[in-house]
Parts: sequence; C-alpha cells; structure tokens
Amino acid sequence: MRYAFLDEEAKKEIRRSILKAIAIPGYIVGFASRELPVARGWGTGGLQVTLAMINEEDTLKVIDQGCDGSVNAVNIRNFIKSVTDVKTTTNTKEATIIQTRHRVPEIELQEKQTLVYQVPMPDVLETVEPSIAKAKLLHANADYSKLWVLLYEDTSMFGDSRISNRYPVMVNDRYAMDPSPIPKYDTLKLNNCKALQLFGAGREKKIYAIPPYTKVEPLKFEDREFKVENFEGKKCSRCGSQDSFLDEVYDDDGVTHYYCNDTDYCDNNLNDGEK
Amino acid sequence: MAYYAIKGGEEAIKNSLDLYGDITAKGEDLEDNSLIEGLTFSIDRVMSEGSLYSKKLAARAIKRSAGDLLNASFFLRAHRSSCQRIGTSKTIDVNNMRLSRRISSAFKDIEGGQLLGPSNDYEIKLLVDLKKEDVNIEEYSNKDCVIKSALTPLRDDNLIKTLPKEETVWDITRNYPSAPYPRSAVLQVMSRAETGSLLCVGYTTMRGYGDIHPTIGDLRIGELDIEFIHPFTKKDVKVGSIEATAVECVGTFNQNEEGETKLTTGFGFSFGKNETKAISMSMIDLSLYNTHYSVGGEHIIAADFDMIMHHLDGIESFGMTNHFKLPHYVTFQTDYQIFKSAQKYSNDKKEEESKNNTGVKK
Repeated sequence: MRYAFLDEEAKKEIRRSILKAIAIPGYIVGFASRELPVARGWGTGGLQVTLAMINEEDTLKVIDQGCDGSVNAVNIRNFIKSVTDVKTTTNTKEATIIQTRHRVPEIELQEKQTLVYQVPMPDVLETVEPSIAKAKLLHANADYSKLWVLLYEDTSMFGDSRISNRYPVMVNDRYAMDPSPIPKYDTLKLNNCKALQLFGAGREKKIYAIPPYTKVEPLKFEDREFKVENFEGKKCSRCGSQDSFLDEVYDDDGVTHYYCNDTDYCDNNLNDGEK
Repeated sequence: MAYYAIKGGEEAIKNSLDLYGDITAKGEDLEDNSLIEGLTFSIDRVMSEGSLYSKKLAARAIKRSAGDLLNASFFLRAHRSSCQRIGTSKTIDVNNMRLSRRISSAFKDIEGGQLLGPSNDYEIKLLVDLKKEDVNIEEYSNKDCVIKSALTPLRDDNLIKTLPKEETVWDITRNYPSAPYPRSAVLQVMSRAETGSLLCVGYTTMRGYGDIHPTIGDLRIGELDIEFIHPFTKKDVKVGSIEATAVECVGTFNQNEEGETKLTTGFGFSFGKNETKAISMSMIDLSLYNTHYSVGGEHIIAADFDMIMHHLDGIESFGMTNHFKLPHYVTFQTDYQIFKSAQKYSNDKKEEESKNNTGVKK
C-alpha cells in the first residue's frame, strides 16, 4: 500500500486544486475525485484533501458531529492512521489537521492548523438552481438574487430563514459559499479565522477553501439579526459549561439532559476543574 | 451519572464488523473459478460498474460482499484508486470484435447473418425443468467471425448524422469535466453506471420522454484485443483481450446543422456480457444528442446532461443513500430549533390576527 493510499498523480492533482481554491477564496474548484475504500457520502472529499496534504510531522484529529469517538470519526481516523502511521489526538490544540463533519471546534483555532470539512453539497446555489451549468454562470456573475429571494420569502412566512444548518456565507465579498452542514452557531467562527479552512466534496468532486484571516459573513438582510441556535438557561450536565453547543439527550426515564457536543472541549473543562 | 451514549464507536465498529464477517464468511469458501465460470453475468456486471477488467478481482469482491454486487463493484473501484496508471491503450474499434453474438433488428438479413450465439432471449422462464430435445449444435469458433456493424452500409452512403470528433479523449477518472460535457466523458460515465439506474433512465426514453422507439441497428458481444504502444520499440503490442458488449441504435431522422436530412444513432458499450446496459446506454446517448429530433416537449431526463453526468454512478448514489445512517444529531438539533421558532412565529401571528379580528365588531 502506498503512503496515504492515493497514487502520487492523484495527490498532485488534489494539491493543485487546493492551491487554486486558496487563491480564489470561496470559489468551487473541480477535481477528479478518486474512489476510496470508504463509501461516497461518508467523508471521501475531506479524506482526499487530508490524504493529499498529510505528512509525518502532522498530528491528526477527526471529529464527526463534534465527537472524536463517534463511529465514522473512529473509522476515518483508523483508516488514515493505517496508511500513514501519523500521530493522532483528540485534543484540538495539539492537532495540525482536524478533519470534521458538521462542526467547528469550540476553542479558537490557531495559525498553522488546518480544518478540513467533509462536504455533502458543495454548491450553495443547489437549492435554488439544481443545474450545475446554470449555477456556474450565476457564480461567475455574482448573481445571488435567487438566494436573496429565498431568504425574503422565508423571512416573510416564518420570521427567519428556514435554513437551519449549512447557512450560506459570502466569502471575501465575492463568492456565496456553502460552509457544509455546520450549525448556524458555528457560522460566525469562519470569519477571520486564523486557521486554513479546506472543504472537500468527494461525491460531487469539488474542493474549495477559506484562507486564514478572510472575511466571511452569513448572507442576511441589514435590518435582520443573524440568529444562531440558543441554549439559554441550559448547561452541560457533565462539565457545567454554559457557553458551548449542547446535545439534547433523553435518558431511559425520558428525562432530558444536555451535554457539550464538542467532547474534547467537555473533557478539557473537566480536567481543568480537577486541577 | 446519566446516560451518555456518544463515545464507544471503536468497539462498536469492531463488533459490528465481526457480526458481518459471520454473514460473509461462507462466501469466502467458494472457489474464484466457480464464480468466474458459474456466475459469469455477475462477474461482468461487477467489472463493468467497478470499471476494472479483472475477473479474478471481481470474483474476490463478490465473495467479500456475499453476493451484494453493488458493494462488490465498490471494492473494485476502491482498488483501482490505489493503482498507478501505466499508460493509455490504443483506441478500440468495435468493428474488429471477434463475435460470439451479433444481431440487428433493423434488417431481416445482414452480412454474416443474424448470429444469435449464447442468449437467453427465447428462454421460457420456468423453474421446473422441461424435457429437453436433443439438438445438433454447429461447431462454432469466433476466431474468424469479424464483421463490421450492420449500419456500415448506411454510414458508407452518408445517411447517418455524425457528431464533431473530439481532439483528445477525456478521462473522467483523472479529471471530471464541468458543463458543457465532452461526449467521451459522458459515454464513460454511462459505461461505468449502475445497471439498474441506466436501465431506468433508458426506459424513460421509451415512454414518451425521448425518442420512444429506436431500432437496434447492431448489437454485438465478443472479444476485443487491447493494444498498447511499447514504450521502447514504439510498436503496437497486444497486451490482452477483453469481452465486451456494443450496441448501435437508430433513432428518428431530422435535419442537421447544414440542412441535410440524416438518421440519428446512439452508441452503448460495456465490459463483459451486458446487453440490457449497453442498449439503455445507446438510447440515452441518442436522446442526449438529438433533443430537438425527439418527440414530445416534456422535460426529458435522458436528454439532460446534468442528470446523466451526476445521477447514474452506483458507487456514488449508493454511498450517499447509505450515509443517512450516520449520526446527524447536530444537524437535526438545528432543524428542530429552527422549526420551533418558525412555529412560534406563525402561532404568534395567528393569535395577533384573531385578536385584531375580535376587536372589530361587525
């Protein structure tokens, strides 16, 4: 087996696509997308980005819906480890590459860290323009009127956009971009982020990027507040945190408990408490 | 401590794989050859969808998947990603096929005759065995049976519409195109497509969403030589041969760009013996490039390039469909919260309206 599974030509191609994506923040770059031993739709885009850039010096963290111990995160981490023998961690601070599905870690990321997002639907216009050819034209003309109309219709009917996650963002005042299905809670963390953010969609064969310190704003009307998920009055039953995204869990007696979704954040809070 | 069920994935995966291993273990006892020879159509389907011509690896993949053919194709695809590309073979001309079967429904008799070859077309589907009559089977060898497509006479008479020739052939496994899609890429997507998906879209063309009733001009199954230019001697070298199915269908006619009236055709090709797949492919190819020749103005799926390029791959559609089994609790939480606030918004609005209404006395 080759180092990092992919053949060298594939890695070269993916790296070129990544470089192009970084050069044009928010722009969708196509790539061939190799089949992996992991199924399409299970993180193969993020995986290819990670495999193309990882080396012996890296420390890898993989999270799925905020958790390092979740089945798919474990599976992906084990696969990458088996083909690279790279060091792995659950600690956000220690990681140089963090591959994630649907969450941005709670603690602020740093320079020289790379956050690799697994992306199911790379084109933000897909909901309003399913034809890829037409959507490409709309992007070229920065014509996002269909998104604005959708936002307007939703606001007039439901008081706010109906989009609950993968909320559209404007990158560098130019491209509307799909941030992958992260909660709105995480959307603001994309702005001026110190880390490099890469997005890989394996099934759809697309890569895009947000370079460090780039302006990223959610698409919204000037006179409307960008409302994120609200956990007011609730706290983590494990570490007591009141400032993190919480999971709602029902126990066997039907009682609701709340826990930090970012399990590493929760563990660190507990450790700090013990010190 | 309350219930906290999120971690523990590592052990769960291991146990799950162990249990699955019990299901697939029996299959591993089968001999590769008994699959290659006994389940030849399964092997062909897996090679075609896996887009890798290796009967041995296909047999292994089928065993590893306990007969789940789509899963077996997935094994082949994953394997081919780790293989270094050595080079590109010379273009194959299906006219040079050593035929084991070749029919045309467009003509009563064709050069070389209708060669039914091995086919189940006229098999009576009864699970019980009927008494078989002895038949004398002619000795047949495909060695010298090389005949051009039955459409060749029409092509020689310049009656068939041609499409512009591509300078270089696209390779979707190295570079996936964006619209407008080159025809070579479209054909590759269809040739690797999931058989059932291709059949479904092909079938739509026969029910009013396309050319409705094309005719099979030439359907052939046989052996094709693969030639490669030797890197040192620069001479053609035969590196092997493959079995394949090729179909040319004939559609309706219309005027081309130059105002000449021409017959339209479509092409289908698949590894192994895959007639249904190759026929479906040829009909979609016909629909894609002859939209305005088609009857009916409805939205024609089989003439929509985006539809064809992004929805037929079995490895992709099956992966995405199964991904819904992954945990989605964060995503669902966000859905739930936004649903709650939207519900509150519309309830408040209703309440306010009814208050206003009762305020006004009629």
